Amino acid sequence: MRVVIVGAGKVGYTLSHHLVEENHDVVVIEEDEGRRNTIQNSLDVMTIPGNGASPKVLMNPDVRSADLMIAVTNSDEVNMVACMAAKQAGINQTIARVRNIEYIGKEEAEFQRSLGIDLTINPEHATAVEISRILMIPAAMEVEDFADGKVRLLEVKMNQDSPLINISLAKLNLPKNVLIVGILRNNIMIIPRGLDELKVYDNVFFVGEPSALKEIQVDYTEALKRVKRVLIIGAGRIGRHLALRLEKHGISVKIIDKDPERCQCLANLLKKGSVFCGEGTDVDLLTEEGVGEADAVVCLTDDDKLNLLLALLAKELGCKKTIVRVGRTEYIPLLEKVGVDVIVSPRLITAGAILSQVRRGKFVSISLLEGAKAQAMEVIVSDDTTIKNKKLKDVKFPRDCIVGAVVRDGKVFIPDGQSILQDGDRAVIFALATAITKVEDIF
Amino acid sequence: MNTKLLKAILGKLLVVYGCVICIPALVAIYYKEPTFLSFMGTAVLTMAVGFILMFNNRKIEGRMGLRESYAIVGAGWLLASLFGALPFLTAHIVPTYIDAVFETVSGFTTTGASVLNNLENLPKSILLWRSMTHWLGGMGIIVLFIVLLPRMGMGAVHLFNAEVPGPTAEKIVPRVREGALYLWAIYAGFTLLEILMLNLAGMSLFDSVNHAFATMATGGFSTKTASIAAYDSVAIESIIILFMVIAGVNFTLYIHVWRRGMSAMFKDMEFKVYLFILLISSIIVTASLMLANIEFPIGTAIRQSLFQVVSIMTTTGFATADFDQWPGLAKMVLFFLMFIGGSAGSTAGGIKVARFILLFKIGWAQIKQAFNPNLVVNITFQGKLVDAMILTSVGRFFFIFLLIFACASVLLAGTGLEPFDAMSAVVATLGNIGPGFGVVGPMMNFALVSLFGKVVLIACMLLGRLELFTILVLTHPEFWRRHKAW
Amino acid sequence: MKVKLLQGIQGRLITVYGIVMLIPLLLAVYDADPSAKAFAIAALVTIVLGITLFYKGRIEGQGRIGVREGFAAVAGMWIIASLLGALPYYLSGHIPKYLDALFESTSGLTATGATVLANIEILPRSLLLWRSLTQWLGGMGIIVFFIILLPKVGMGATHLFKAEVPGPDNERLSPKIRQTAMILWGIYGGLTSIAIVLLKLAGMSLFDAVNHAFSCMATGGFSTKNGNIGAYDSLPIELIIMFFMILSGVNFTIYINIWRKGSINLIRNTELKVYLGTIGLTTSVIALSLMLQKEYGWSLALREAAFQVVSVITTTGFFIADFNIWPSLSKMILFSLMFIGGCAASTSGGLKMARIILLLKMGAAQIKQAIHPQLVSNVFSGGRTVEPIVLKNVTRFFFLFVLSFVCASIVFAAIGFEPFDAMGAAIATLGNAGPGFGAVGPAVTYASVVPLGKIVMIICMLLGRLELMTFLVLIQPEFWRVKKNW
Repeated sequence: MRVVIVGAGKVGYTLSHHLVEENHDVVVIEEDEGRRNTIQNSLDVMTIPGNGASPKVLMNPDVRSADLMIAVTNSDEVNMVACMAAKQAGINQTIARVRNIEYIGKEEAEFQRSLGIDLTINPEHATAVEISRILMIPAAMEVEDFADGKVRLLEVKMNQDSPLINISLAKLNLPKNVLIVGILRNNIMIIPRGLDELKVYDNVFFVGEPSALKEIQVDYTEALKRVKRVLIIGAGRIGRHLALRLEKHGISVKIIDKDPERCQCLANLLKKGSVFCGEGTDVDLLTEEGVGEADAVVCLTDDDKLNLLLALLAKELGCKKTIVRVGRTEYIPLLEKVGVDVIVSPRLITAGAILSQVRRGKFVSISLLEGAKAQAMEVIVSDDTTIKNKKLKDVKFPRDCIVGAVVRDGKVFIPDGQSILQDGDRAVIFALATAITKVEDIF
Repeated sequence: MNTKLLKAILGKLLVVYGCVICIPALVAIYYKEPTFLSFMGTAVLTMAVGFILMFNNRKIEGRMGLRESYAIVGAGWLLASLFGALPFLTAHIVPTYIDAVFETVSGFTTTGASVLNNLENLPKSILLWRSMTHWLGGMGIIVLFIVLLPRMGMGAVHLFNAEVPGPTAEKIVPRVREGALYLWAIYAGFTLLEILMLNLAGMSLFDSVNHAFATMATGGFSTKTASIAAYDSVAIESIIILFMVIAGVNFTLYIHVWRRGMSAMFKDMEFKVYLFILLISSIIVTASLMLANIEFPIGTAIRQSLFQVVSIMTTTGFATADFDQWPGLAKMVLFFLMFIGGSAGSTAGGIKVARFILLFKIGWAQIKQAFNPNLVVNITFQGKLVDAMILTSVGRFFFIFLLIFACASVLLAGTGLEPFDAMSAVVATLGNIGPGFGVVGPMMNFALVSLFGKVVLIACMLLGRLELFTILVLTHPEFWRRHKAW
Repeated sequence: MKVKLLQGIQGRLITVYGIVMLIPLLLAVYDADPSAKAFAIAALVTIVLGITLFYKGRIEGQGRIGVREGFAAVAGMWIIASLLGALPYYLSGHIPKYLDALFESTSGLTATGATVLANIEILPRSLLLWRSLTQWLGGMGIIVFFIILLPKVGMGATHLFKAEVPGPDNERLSPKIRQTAMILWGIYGGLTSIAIVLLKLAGMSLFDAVNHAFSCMATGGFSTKNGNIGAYDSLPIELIIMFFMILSGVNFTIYINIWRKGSINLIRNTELKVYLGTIGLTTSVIALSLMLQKEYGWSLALREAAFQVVSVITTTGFFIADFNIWPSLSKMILFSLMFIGGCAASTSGGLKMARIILLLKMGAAQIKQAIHPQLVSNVFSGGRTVEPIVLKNVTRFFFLFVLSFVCASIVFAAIGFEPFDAMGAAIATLGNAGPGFGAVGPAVTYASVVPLGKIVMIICMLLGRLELMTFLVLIQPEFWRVKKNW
């Protein structure tokens, strides 16, 4: 597929990278020469100088012939206009990145679709949603919902006391409708088979019904209480979105930021949470405000290094769970090694959302996991797939992917080799990065 | 809440305090008074409790956060009052424990409102103890503590700020302990000077010491029932006026003068306004006295009005006339002066001159902005721009002060006092002045106030001395939350 | 300062005012009463003055009515209206001294209700009507009234409106000021009519019903009887008046919202809840106080307490009892209520509930801030954050109000009032309440106050009615600069 990306900033770069890896043709429109050169020199893409919203650029045959335009410049308005113009020029699908909180919402999305923007993505908002979902489930490191919430993917770290370790999977007594689809061990993602065992410090990916997964949390993992107190450092966009969401869920929130205006702005929005103006590295402030009693500390400054430092500091002072926002995805394995509990990358979240759009229709949602080592996706089985009416064991599934769960007529079940997928089924698939194109082909 | 730290510090405080109580005990021995047993007993009890608290909590370690410092100041003052009241009770000077606590709190908060009568017949040790409570409380029990016991780091700053708040946040010397030392040195120095001068003017040594203590602390307890009027001596009155004025000045100004000379004093706006208010008020009161009674000799009018005005504005509370008998205008002026109080950073109470200066500037700016809505007005004080946070806190302090005044007045009126008497009793305690009007006038005392009323007034005295917030934070649920304010 | 514009506006307003004077004139003619002459002259003078100014000034082409013109117009109008409104009393001979006539006129327009008349009932009906009419006009605002009548003034009249009806909220009630003014007057007039009907049914004569309804809705307090409402000794009348007093003290935007949307969630309105709650609480306390301390029967205690509390908190000033003889607690509470006042955007005076609530919230926020120094706090009201500028205005208003009160009290003490009476008179005029305590209590009147006192009282009444700013801006020299601020 031919994809046009407007804006070669960090997000644009990441997207181009992922799209090229999936064998799409990528054209990048970018005004700034420096950024153009960077991307031209490191990725296999075509670059066009100019403004993505300008007719001249859109008339360019290389652009016009694209199937999808993704506008990710720094300006919401430029992104939206570029998409609208692109729709008029005949480009099939458009996606705009939009940061302004006023442009989010169901009604707004309807309105934007009528204008010609098929999808708007708000990375900061999406990140905040992600973080809040993770916070809602105490033991989780990653949570993804599929099939309108009927199927959930849960990533949990195995610690020494876990009763699940060192037992072969075939003998493991998991609740009904729960399947282990992946294990991250020593930085390598594995699709487990019956004889594999869970080891200490493994990150285990479970797929199943949310209620069944809850049993696992309660019985088998560290039974942590509900999250009640969260400290957020950084009152930027993500911090703001997150604080408001958490407050709505009844969680006690405290935010620290060093810019007085940002503090005041957030203080005006919050009803019960408290905003403090000060440095996140101020140990006195942290101790005075009880960082050791917080259920989680979320580090959301713009600086990755600072976030890491804050997380370690918080851990040192007694906080139980640290969540860090990271810009450069290369840092993710390093951060995990050092002891940060959860790492979120807005870029990966954005890329995930966009990729599901790219795969068009059948692939309802896609999540990039663990620095894009693997993907979890939800697919709707339709008439024109090759696997219809064949038993799963007869379908040539690649080795490194697994069908975790299937929802048929609202009911969830774990398929085995004998299962046959029918039209209208929604399948949740867990696949390593290497298997993705093959999965796409099958479906 | 670092309770170990609290116990360690409070324990030490009580031990030192117990030693201090031995001083009146020694005086009792010297004068062969039976109160010796009361004082000694109290001293031993205090020290014993102190040691018990210190048991297992010897070292001052661990974090002294903001909350710990509020708790220490609050508990410290409370304990000092409760223990210090014992001698009054056990020596049968007062009928009930509440009365004893009233007298003691009035001493420490340098209010000077008394439930006692017939002072000349009281044991000298008791009289000395009263004045000592003034002197200790004037500059601050905690501040003294900071001086005596080293090594508290940031905790010392929190403690200092909790006991000696004030509108502006000036630090005179880098280290709090050094600053506290300077303050106490100046304080003690002036006290000694006054003792000398009073003695030369004809007061007995004992009386000089007591009155000097009470003056420098702007307290107002006297050894005479008729207060300073009993001496009928221009010399003594002049000396006391001088030292009352001195005590009502910002003590850090004295440090400035020490370093840079007298010019520092004339440049200080608060000082100038302070003197100005004293002057204008004296003139108005004198005029009022003269107009009401044409026979009134002008010399006496000036003498009496000057003394009363200074005494009330510096919140000392000495009296040389029964101003309750004065004409309406004079009483009105004196009443309002009780609200103003002395300079910030002095031993005087009230809302403080500095706050009023800021309030006036803000008010004037407000009027300007009313017809120039986009105008940006910057408030400056002593040449420096005033932080918005300080402006906000000054306005709110003013409101809370008046709110407490209003509520307490209603409560006191409920105990049977006439409205004006009730209001004067409240402001006299909230502002740490001492005598009020009517039933609690300068020639009366607070004995007739009901028990409930006395409790309310005790609260007012503490609130006033600790500038409201140190006590008010104890009422906020946030302060008590188990999980560190979540 | 666009002088011509001012003249043009005021010319129109004054002319209309003169026309209004014709109403009592007609009544005087109907009654064949000699004071008709006085009204005729007064109306003539007023109309002539108005037309002269109207021709000297110009409205077209002068540009918008700016902030300054707004303030000047309102301040000027009220002063002139008071001065001219005194003429009927003075010229008819019923109030021989012009200053007294001015006092009565101002007390009418500002809906204060303080009177200099020792014997009200001997006045001709035309003058009685004029008294109540001035209250009715002034209650909702003469400017507002005229904005309706004069469409040309209505354009750009935002500043006029804001200068007369300030208040803590900046909520715009309606896109067009003229529409807002009309709705307000519509509701006002409607409620007045219902009050008239009910009072007539309860037994008052039509004339009395009209007069009392006028002064009730305006929360003024003038009565046609010497004994005020007490003269009727009728529970139904008292209840009706109480009901309408409470209604007048409610925020009129609630009525507008009911009119527009049909219903309104009253439960969420904090101001209303606090308003009603305060009435309930203070009534109970005072009733108890009357029963316990003065041995009233419970029904009498409740009846008097409720009426007086409502009358005082809405700053109306009707009375059925001489609360001067009430116990101290009750007097203290009534005194405090005069400060609080009714809800914002009502016809009552005082600081206003909305401001008090905001001040209390700010106080709480300040205490929280003392515990968390780095907290960035905000104050919530009605589900939204209150803008800092509003908070600032409220605290500054509070300070200026208290300052005005203090100055007035001192002046009154100087002219011979006892302190409490002086303060009572100060708040009664500044808060537009009406009768005060002691020498200006309900049983006595303001007749015996010396001229200087009356002048200051007149100033206080105007200051209070126009919520300080409108007049205080006049003392700023910058306000008068012709060349816009340079």
